[in-house]
Amino acid sequence: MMAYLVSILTFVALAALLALALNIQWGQAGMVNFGIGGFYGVGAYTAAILSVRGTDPLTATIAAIVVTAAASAFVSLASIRLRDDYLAITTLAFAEAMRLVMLNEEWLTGGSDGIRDIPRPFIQFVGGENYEPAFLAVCFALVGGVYILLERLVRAPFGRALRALREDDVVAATLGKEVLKLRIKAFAIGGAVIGLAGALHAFYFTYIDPGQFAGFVTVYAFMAVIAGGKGSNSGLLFGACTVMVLVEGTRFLKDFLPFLEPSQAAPLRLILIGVGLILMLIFRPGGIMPEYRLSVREWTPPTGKKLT
Amino acid sequence: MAQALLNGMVSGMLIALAAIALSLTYGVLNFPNFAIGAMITTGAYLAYFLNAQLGLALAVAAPLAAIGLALISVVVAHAVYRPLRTDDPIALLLASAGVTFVLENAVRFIYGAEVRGFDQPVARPLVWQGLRLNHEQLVDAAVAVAAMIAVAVILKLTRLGRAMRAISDSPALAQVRGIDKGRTIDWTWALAGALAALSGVLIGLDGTVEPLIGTNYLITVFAAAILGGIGNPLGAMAGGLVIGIVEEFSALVLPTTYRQGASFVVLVLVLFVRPQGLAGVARFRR
Amino acid sequence: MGGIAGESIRVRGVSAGYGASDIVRALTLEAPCGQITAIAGPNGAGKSTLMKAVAGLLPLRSGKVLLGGRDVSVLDPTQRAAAGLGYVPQEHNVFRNLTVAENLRVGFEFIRRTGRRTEFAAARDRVLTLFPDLASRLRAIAGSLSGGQRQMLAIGCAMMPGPMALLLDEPSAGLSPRSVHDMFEAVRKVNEAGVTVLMIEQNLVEAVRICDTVVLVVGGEARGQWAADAFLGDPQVHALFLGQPGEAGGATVHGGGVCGTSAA
Repeated sequence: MMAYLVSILTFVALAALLALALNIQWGQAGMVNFGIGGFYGVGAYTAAILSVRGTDPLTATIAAIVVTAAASAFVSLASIRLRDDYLAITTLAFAEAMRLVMLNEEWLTGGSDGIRDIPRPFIQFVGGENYEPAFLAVCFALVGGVYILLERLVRAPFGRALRALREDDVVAATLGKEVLKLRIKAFAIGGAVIGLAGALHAFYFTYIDPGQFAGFVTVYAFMAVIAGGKGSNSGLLFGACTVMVLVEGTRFLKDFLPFLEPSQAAPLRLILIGVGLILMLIFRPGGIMPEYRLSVREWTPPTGKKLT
Repeated sequence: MAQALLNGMVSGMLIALAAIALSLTYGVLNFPNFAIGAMITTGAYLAYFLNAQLGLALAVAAPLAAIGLALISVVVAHAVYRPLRTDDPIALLLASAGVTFVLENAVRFIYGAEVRGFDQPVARPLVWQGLRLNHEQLVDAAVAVAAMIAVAVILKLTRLGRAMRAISDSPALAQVRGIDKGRTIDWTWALAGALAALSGVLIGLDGTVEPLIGTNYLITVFAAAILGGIGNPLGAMAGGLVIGIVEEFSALVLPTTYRQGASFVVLVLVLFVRPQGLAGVARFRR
Repeated sequence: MGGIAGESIRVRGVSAGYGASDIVRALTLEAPCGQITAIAGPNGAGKSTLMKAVAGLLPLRSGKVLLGGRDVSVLDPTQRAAAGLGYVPQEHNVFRNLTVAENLRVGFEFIRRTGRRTEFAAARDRVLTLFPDLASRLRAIAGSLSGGQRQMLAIGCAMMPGPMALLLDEPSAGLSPRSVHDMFEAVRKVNEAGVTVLMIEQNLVEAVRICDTVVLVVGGEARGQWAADAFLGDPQVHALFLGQPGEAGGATVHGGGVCGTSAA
């Protein structure tokens, strides 16, 4: 029981990191990242590939952070001028491309078999039963650290500039390159956090394959941000917990519905998660947080008829 | 080479049908419908149910599946998208991601993950001047062409089509000119659902029926729709054909598992170089 | 040209707005049957808001809108159009990706849902006679037309269902002087055919040539109704325009001074 709780909390920590990253990219800089799963995979695979070949975990983690940040910078640099929905599609396409690479470049990634036996960091210091709680403690510490860092960023001139940009694309377009660089920086910082999460993921599970980094990761991150509300970083932590409760809680479904075959429990879970996402979107006050969306089109004139 | 061109054109038509469906809702509702993949899958399975389980000939099962998915699409629009009360594309995108979860897993729940196929009599492929065209491809092409003609007729010649194009052009003016947005949107979803179902049936006919067939086409369909000019259903037809041919040719050069990669490259190129798509030059922005 | 019986538009004590406060406040005016009435006033006075309320795009927070004797206050824009009230918005007033012919068709077929082909053909002929420029360009995509032609098309589309009264929101906005003249001529012809016209106009020098009455709206309220030829010469108008109640402004108002450019 305790072990299960520890593992759930570890998932929460990972989800929290992803949510914090998405908040910087989307909430603060207004760039929709629909490819989080792919970037997450980049971080995980970087860490895994390096540590399986003997690199120490710290270097591997730093490498994961750097590589993911660089990939994020690259993608955002290329798509900086795209409108929202096209940006979402581009980042999604990037994630898909990463997934294809993960599946195909077997020499590097092990293909669909993935990478196994990733060495756990510092296991020689903390053995056996104490390892997972210790790992969890490290994760929490990292979440806390990232949280503080991002809070600083949000309150600094950097953050204010970002929010000003987010509100007004026209202003952003006319202010020129210096200011657009801010967005790329924000996206890359988010990418760095995703990379960190990916490395932790690899070390925790010790086995990764392409299926772990599919679209649902992205959806969970969005759900955490939406559930958490108002774009505040503290809300995100709440959101991450909510999502993980939903995701893990449904794992117990088959205990309540014993007539289900094992192969049916997993799809049923995902159906419930899908429904959960939809309900979250419908019933969040103000839809998807006015904090995130300030497009003029969202304002419906007060006629008898709605626009949609 | 010519064989690749032929194969590409046929597979391009399947893509085109789904791309038209995507373009329709993108144009009328400004909605990037992420669930198009799931709709394709659901359509295929509906037909499978009617064909392999109820014993109906595919020629009957397919139109019924189209009607079925048309109804499902309208229901989903009313149950999920309308209550959102927003025309923010990102909110709609996320909602359609939720719908994808539900539809795809409903299919998995009922049918599991095994690969299935339609109950079709086996026929010999046609060979003509060194080019092979198997029976399924012929059927695919014929149905796809018929569907595309039907869509073009609806859009250009009927009142409903004008209503769709008008809303796509300017929703506010459409309201002033008396167009019933609610009903037109319902019909748009119905049409998109029917096209997606046909696409799914034809894809299943050309290959196999399994829960992932739709998702595999997701990027490809988006690429085709954007290439043709988003919101331009007729352009999506051309986009689909081009993408189909590009993918087929890329298979000659790249390993087949990277097939989707070709669509990805096209998508990225179009978005960065010419976001309004090939046919987009004639479109005036809202 | 087909005896359209014009109806008057009466606005009685109408209030409307977008947010918490009202932009239009208990406004009353009348566009008499068969006449052309212009609404003038400084920017931000609430003219466009008023027009949207009359057209049915904004809910009335108080008051009524009457078309002829009929209270249309609770009708939505489509129903008002079916009742005989046409509307030409200032922007987005044609479907740019449809052809001229398709625009005209759309103008007719949704408001006159049960209209027969013959009725449509008759309506189209009427409109094309009013706007001969369009007749030669039926297949052109609306977005490729010049500004003046697009405006004609917009008015033509509003005319297709055979309205008895027409609302025009700044029809001359963005048009070249030559087009302005042609456009007002077209409005005059529309009115001669019997249609009541209520229009917002900034270009009053041109507008007073064709209209019968001018209503001045300042700060969301109607501040008076003048006969068209008396409007520009009245010093009180100048004062009200500049927001100085009671002050005569110290000079007679010359035609080009106050109107024809964005007001102070």
